[in-house]
Amino acid sequence: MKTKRNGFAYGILLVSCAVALFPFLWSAFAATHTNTQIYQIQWALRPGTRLLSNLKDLTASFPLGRNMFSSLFIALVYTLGILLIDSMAGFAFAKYEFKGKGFLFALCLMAMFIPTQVTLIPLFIEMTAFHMIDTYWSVILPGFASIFGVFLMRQNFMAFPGELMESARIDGAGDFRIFARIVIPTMKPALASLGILSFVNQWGNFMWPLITLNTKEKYTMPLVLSLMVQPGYVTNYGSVMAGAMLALLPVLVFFLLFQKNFIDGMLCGAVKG
Amino acid sequence: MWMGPPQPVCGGPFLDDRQSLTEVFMRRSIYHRSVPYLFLLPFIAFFFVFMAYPIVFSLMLCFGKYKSASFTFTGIGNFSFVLSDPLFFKALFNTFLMMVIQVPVQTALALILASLLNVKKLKGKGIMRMVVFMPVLLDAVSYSIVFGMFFNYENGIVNNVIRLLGGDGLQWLNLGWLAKTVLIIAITWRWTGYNTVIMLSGLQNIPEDLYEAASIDGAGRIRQFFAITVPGLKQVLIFAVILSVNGMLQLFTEPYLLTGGGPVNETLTIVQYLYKKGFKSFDFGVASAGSYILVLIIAALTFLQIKVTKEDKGR
Amino acid sequence: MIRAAQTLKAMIDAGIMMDFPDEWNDRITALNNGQICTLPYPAWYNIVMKDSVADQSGLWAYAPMPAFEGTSGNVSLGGSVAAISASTKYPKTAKAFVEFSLMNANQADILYGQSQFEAYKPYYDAECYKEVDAYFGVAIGETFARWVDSPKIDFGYYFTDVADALATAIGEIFINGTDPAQALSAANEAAQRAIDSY
Repeated sequence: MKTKRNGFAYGILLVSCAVALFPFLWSAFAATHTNTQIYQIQWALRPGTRLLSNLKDLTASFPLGRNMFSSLFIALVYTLGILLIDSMAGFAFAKYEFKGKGFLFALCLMAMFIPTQVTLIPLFIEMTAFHMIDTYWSVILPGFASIFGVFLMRQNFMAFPGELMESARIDGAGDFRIFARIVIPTMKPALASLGILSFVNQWGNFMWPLITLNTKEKYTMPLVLSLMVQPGYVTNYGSVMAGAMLALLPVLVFFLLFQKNFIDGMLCGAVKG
Repeated sequence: MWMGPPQPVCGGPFLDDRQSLTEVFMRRSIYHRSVPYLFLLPFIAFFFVFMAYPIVFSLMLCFGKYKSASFTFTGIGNFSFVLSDPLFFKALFNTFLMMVIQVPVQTALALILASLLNVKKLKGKGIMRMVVFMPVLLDAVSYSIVFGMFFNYENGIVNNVIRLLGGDGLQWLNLGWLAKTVLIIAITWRWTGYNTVIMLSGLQNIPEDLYEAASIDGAGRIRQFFAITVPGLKQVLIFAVILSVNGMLQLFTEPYLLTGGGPVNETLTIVQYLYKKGFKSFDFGVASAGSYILVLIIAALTFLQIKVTKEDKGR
Repeated sequence: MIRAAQTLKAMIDAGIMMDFPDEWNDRITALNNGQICTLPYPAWYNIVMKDSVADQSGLWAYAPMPAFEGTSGNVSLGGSVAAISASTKYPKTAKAFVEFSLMNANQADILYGQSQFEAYKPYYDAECYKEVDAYFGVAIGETFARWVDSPKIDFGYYFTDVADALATAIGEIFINGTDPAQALSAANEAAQRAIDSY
């Protein structure tokens, strides 16, 4: 009975995995095909021979090195910043009582329900006033206002035993030291969680960079890819797929590195309210 | 949506430390009283500059016209424009229709997958869990392009397979309801894994003994599922559904890249409409007004969802 | 407009028209697959054909656009437009630069490699335009110089709103089968509403 049930489970799971993986595999192989081959079933999962020339086309149209750097710089700086800022803020909300706490928290909660699109235009006007249009910071800085991370970290900090903090305090440790030396090291899963989600989100961020970035060299990878398929552009689909695969690489590496911690982190926080 | 202080999931029983901290707190010096503010400062600073201020500013924009860096007040003209624009209602209809189909499908799939991944003694669980999650990693632009190529009428792989099996290729991107289907398929592919992981974590918090007790009492697997699993996952399910509904209501990237708003605006979403008004026609007033109408809709729906599920809980 | 829509509709119903959801890329694929024999498309597309459909060189020729009586059938479609931002600090310099780069007969050689169909007529007197083009078998300058009488379009302030309304109307007529008169008047209303709201 158990093996039959397990067999059933395996069946569905394997099909799901195949469905999940197929577009990835297809794209990887497509990066080696010509425009004609790319559409043919017989070439779907077979490697072609045009990888190098597709890559060449790709780099000929865009300063790919610069674009990868843009994406990496923006995503990394953003992730590091978010981890720092949101863990501190989450810690404050979780472990302290202070005047205005309820008010500030309610404010953040309400803001969470305002879709990002509402702030796009004022942000754009603001960035123009700050003369920050077309800079990496115009993409990174507004992202630090995101509330999701604060909630996630707060959730996780609330589970941290207060006695440890108290005993450290009695021993004379300052709050910042408690935070850095005692609390944070135990929060690795939560940090990994927030880190991966933030990195992936910012890497794939399309609408805001589309609006604020104007120089080709500063474009992030998603922008580059979207431009390559615009009308007026001679599209070599193989090279678009090569670009997509290149864009996927850093995210995949990041994810594989931290995925064990990531799942544990999702367990302890993302679940409730 | 303040449901009371959220209970942490992990860590087991522990002291309610807020009490003792408060006491400790009161004994401290002024320096210590400012500590939480210091921790909070960076976030609050960014929040006010890049979130609170723009929100207030956008509220102002709703009520006037913003041209060449100068603002003129026009009352509720923008709102009446949006609310009498057939295109807005079309976008509203499209968005809701897709949401109402996509969210249940995705949630059900995620629930099934999570349950299967939770089965004891399943070899390779970890890898399968990772693979199922992977679609989230592919950025929105890439996967929109790939799915666009899959569903291309002349040459796409989907139609090629259909033709191979003897059928006629379908006009995926040319017929309204087919274009919506393509979007639903693409979005489900992308987000089911993410929801699966969320539900999996919820599942792992349901105590094993409940199941054991139930099977001793003679309850079959299906009965166990509905009597134990679903109620135990209630919080998680609500969370996942609210996230998905919000995500679908704010859908922009996929229709923008895959269908361009679809054949004759059949896949035009609300946010696409707002984007057109704001960044194509540069009518910031109308775009802001439309955004707040969307906000009201989201708020109302979220409130409804919570109310309905709270009533379910009873007492 | 209604007559044109009806004629096109008849052509679609007769099955001789091909449809491209992904306008640009599908057209190129179809060209490469040899599925198109007549392409009513602007002259500047010749550069794209030379790039993307290189192996069909010598198989294509130019022909004048079919037209109803009383018109020449020549219109302006797409191409590149130069715009000077209203908030620029140096409008006169910008204008002078545009004139220098795009309205200067001495630049003909440079532009020939990029586009070959210029809006500035004196270009067609340049030498390079008199050469016989290998792909199409005629001298570009001579052919196109005859067809530059398209009506002038004033894009104006409300371009995007009107274009949007028209795009919807076209979709309605050709995909949903709406009566052209109805679709076009609906587009007119929509565009007017948008214009009034400014």
